[in-house]
Amino acid sequence: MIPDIELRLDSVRRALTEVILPGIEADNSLAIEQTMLAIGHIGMIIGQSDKVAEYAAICFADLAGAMADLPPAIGQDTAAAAAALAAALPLPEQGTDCRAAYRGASAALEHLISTADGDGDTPFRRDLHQRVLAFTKRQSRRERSWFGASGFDPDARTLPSIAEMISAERKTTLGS
Amino acid sequence: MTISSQSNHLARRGADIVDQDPFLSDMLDRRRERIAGGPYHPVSDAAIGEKLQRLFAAHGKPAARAEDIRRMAGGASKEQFVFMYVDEAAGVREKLVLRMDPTAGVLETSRERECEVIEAVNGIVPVPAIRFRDLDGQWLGGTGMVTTFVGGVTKPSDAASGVTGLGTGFTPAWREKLSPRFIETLVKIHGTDVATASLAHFGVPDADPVQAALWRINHWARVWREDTREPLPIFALVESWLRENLPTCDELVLLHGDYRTGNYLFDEATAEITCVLDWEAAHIGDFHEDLAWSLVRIFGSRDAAGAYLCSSLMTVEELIARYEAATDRTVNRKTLHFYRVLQAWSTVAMCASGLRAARAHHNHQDILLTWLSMVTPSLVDELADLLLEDIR
Repeated sequence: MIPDIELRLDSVRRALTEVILPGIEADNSLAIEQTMLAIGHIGMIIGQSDKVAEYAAICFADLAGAMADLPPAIGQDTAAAAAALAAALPLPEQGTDCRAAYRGASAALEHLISTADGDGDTPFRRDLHQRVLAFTKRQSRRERSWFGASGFDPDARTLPSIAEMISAERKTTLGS
Repeated sequence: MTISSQSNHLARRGADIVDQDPFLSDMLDRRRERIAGGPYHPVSDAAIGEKLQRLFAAHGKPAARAEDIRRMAGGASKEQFVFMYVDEAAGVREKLVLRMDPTAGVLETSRERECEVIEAVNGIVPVPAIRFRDLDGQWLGGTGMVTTFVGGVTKPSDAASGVTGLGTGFTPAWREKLSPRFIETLVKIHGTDVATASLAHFGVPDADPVQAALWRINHWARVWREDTREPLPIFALVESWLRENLPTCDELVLLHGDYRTGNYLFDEATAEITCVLDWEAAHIGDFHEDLAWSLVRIFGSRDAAGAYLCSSLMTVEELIARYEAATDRTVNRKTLHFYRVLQAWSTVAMCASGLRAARAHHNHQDILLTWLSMVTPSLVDELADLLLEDIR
């Protein structure tokens, strides 16, 4: 019988909360703050740990869809950067961790945006920027849910929980 | 200059990635050398006592010592201690604060500039007095400064807030009391005479009317390039937009650079602002930049009716109206929009710096830096909203 990761993390969280934090001297504000942050981090990791792979697949699938069929670019450098992006977009095989694919496609897109500033024609750049902004709105909403428990978002109450977000995206983005 | 040649000139200036604030550029060069070293380890209270004693002795106070040294929480990257300075021979006992730099953090800043600006605004707005400084880390092991401890609170005792003052909530009564003081203090900072103030380590972006904005873009673009490990397409898109939309600045003022709720103290009994804190990001530039900083979404909250309150105090329109009423300046909405984009964008770059410092263990608060970086999705969302507003 072996403990799973969630149970081990939960045990660490409980030790920090119920034993270690109360044991810190009241005037050691740095240690108190860091212990509370550790408890917060662990709580968030517990909520995310079994969804990391599916979340990455959703992010990648949406980015790939948003950047599919870009109009042809006139400038040579921009056309080459657009081709590099297109090469980074095919969906990885099922069961593959999509995090590296998402990072690779994001890097290719970032490069395309910068390159298009050099020799990209105006209609291409306009189309590209609109796609990036539309994708960014969807992606930031997902990430705001993903990191919602950090408490930084002034509009957190308008966001779905991680489970609700994944469930909805499973249908709309992954089509499953 | 004709309209066409003017627009060519603006396009050339926007594309210029070399023109940077020389002092900030040197600072980033020095950082590059410093972060090539190993991990940073928190300094023990006992070691701090010894370092402080060396600092006091070097400043002609060999008999002085630090007692009751305690670490302070808060702040995103400095090591901070509060202690009692005791010089029995001189009959002095004074509560002081040490701010010391770890190897790296969310923001690379200079204690030399911070000391200069605090002295420049002393008497204009309430600031702590500087007692000792170690600008090359000779005695403290890292650069640092010792200031007086000023009483006051960043939030009422019954209000909630997160790390570094983010998410502070005020009741309507507190907002009514603090809002005018918030503006009044900002106006005084902007009224500092930068021509006569002793700000030897501050660059003045007066080569042309767009240099103030260009220096900010080039600084944060460099920080991003040097610190990020994760691609973020919107960052490149925003940089492109900023370079194409440089505003002109016809009045250079002293900017606090981090003026928001959480960075001033007030007296809970009188609501008077007792101290303006965290001057490390001060620089000379366009007043819209400070206004825009207090509008960054993560520094605000919503009231009971759902209206967004910048710095948790007032609506955007109230901020603009109060600032205009207190000065002879007119807030240019287009320029303010530009700086709102720039400020949210620069904060994303700061998050990249924080994560880089945490990965390299260059800070004593890695856990805080990784926590703070979770503001990025809100900042990115704000950037997308601001740019979508622009292209509609």
